[in-house]
Amino acid sequence: MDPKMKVSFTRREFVASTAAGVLLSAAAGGSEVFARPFQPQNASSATAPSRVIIDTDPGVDDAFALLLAMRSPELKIEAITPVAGNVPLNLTLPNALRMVEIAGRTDIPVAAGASAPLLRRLVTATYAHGENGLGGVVFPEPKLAPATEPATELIRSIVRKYPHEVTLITLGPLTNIATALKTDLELAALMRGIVMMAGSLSGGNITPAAEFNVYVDPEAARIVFQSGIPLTMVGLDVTRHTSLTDEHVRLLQAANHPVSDAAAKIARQAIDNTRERGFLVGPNMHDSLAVAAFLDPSILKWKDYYVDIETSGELTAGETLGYSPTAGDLRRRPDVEKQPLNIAIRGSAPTLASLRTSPVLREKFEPNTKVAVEVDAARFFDLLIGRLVRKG
Amino acid sequence: MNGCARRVWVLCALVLASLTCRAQEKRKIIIDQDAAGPAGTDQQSILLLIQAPQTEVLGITVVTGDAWLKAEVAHTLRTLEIIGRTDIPVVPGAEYPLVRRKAETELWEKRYGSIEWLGAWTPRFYHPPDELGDMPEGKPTTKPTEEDAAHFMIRMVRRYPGQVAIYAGGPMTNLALAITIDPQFPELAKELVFMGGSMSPLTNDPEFADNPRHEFNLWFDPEAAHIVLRAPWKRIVCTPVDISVKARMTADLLKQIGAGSTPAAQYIGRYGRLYGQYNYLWDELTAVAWLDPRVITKSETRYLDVDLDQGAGYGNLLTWSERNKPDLPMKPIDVQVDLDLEKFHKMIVDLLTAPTPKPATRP
Repeated sequence: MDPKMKVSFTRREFVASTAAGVLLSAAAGGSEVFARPFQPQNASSATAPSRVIIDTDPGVDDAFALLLAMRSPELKIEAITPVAGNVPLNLTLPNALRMVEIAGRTDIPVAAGASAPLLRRLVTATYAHGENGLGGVVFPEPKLAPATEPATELIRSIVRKYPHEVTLITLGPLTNIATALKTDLELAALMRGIVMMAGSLSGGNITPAAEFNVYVDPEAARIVFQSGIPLTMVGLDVTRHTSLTDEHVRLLQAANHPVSDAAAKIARQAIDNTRERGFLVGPNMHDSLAVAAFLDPSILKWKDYYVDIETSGELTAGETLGYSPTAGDLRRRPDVEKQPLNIAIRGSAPTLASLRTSPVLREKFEPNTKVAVEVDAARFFDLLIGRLVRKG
Repeated sequence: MNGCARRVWVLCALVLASLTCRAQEKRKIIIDQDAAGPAGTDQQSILLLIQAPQTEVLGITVVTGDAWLKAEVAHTLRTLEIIGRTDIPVVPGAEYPLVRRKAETELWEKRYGSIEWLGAWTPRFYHPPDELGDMPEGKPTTKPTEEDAAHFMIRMVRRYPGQVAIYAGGPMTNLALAITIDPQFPELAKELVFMGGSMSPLTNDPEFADNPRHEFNLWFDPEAAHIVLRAPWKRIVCTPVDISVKARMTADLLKQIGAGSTPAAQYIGRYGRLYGQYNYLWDELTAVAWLDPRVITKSETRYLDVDLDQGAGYGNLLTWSERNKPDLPMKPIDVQVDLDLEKFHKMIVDLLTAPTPKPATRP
């Protein structure tokens, strides 16, 4: 069993795993050149709790992410905005309400978002999340009612009420965000940033090219990635290393309170489902890793990219393309590593109908996203499971 | 109740009923417009709808198209100040189309040929989005609403289900956003009337000569047009370029309007002018046809969509008849083909030279 998947709480093991991580990366000689000083968004850099809005499509990993977020005092969750994705809105909305009730956080407004992507028919992932979005685990009908206004209006009013303070944490297709940005021309400048579970620079899941959230609504993703808002992308590059295990379930079951019980039930069912489908590992905790990234960015390694979204591809729509001067097959010499480098942002080869020899879309490399490229899975699960089993 | 009292009671009831009926007879409309100004087709069509005594304009929702959003909002606010109707909310909408971007459009033009009219992006009078450009009619002192166009439209159709007509005189960005936020929005509206699309207009206008299927409103935001044209509206009426080329503003018409003494007439008299050769009264025709459908002498039913492929045809209108339409649910659209030009001219002059109706009073 991979030692990284062991869950531990002792300080010695925390330090050891971090040290090992540092040694490993130094040995590989892979240090990245950043276009600007590295400053990932994180909750702990503020003294007061960070205001967040969580956009979500529960969803097994969304459910975990919501529970983690609601158990994290560093976060002031201003709203939860369900969207259609893993399952339709008429399931993601009540699932979000259920998680809010289980966590005893009925103070958080939950506002219904988009029931369909901007320009595509909804593709769901019931194969991974079960027909009801929670792995088939049945929770009671929520008593909590959703907010009366649509998600986009709630996002607008909260971001405008707290200019430059609100971070959006997005766990599903980006339909709500894109729509909100387009209805209100000032919104982009007023957001503190967006932390997204989205995309992949190393191959997709639902198709070889695309990660599910971006695949479902590529046009919305492009609108968000082109918005100029500081972006943090937690994609399959790192989430594929965060598989849930029987040991995690055991720890959750042992804790014996409503949040850990709910998480344990969903985890148990989800692992059984993935096993039944023929997989060796449990489902990946994509969305909770995005929340964890905001809580403690040091559990990941980051690299600046200019990211754009393929929207036209017959086979590749939904692919996240990451441009970086230091991407590529060849490693750079140490003496040039620190130099600012440039690449042209290049699209597909021109056709005979074009005058240009090379369709350069942008001349300069200007990163728009911090992309997570490595994760310390052990530290991540310590954080996730730790918060879910802790009482109160 | 004795016979006399009963008669009085019935009389009172009838009077009350007729009073409330008269108030209810006003036709509610939201004007979604790329409201460039001063005067011109965008402002004139807004004025026509406000000037008609039987309409209640719930609001003017603004979208970038012929000009940038902020400039258009300013022109509209100023127009309302001039005619004394600052009770009508001016609601800012989308500053950019859903998907189309200026830089990529310029690359597209290099490959596939230049576009005659780029609205706010037309190089010869380009200014940045935050600037207002020339305002010879004066700058407004009133302000637009805090609420945005999409949410405003949703709120109105929910407040008055089945009653609100949506007039679209520009790119359809705001409507598409409303549909995405609230899929019931189109069904709750009464109908959609829009100026947009071009099939095969009889004209040598270079804007349409090489590509008769290109028309600015649908082309500027093709994805929005696609979303809107495929949405479940109860009724859709289209004023395409084909009928619009038959209706042009002339010096004589401008003179007739300018001869009026009311603020609306004076505004158009002072700031209205002819630009180049064509001066289609397209947005005005869309408005007048909604006010009085008898101005349209011939219509046909068609199915419409917009080409979203990113190549040479991006933004072009696609049309089908019952015979050849694709096997997918689509709403038939009432496409206007011919008009009574004399009646149209008369209505324009009469409406624009009339005193501006006072705001509707709530019973």
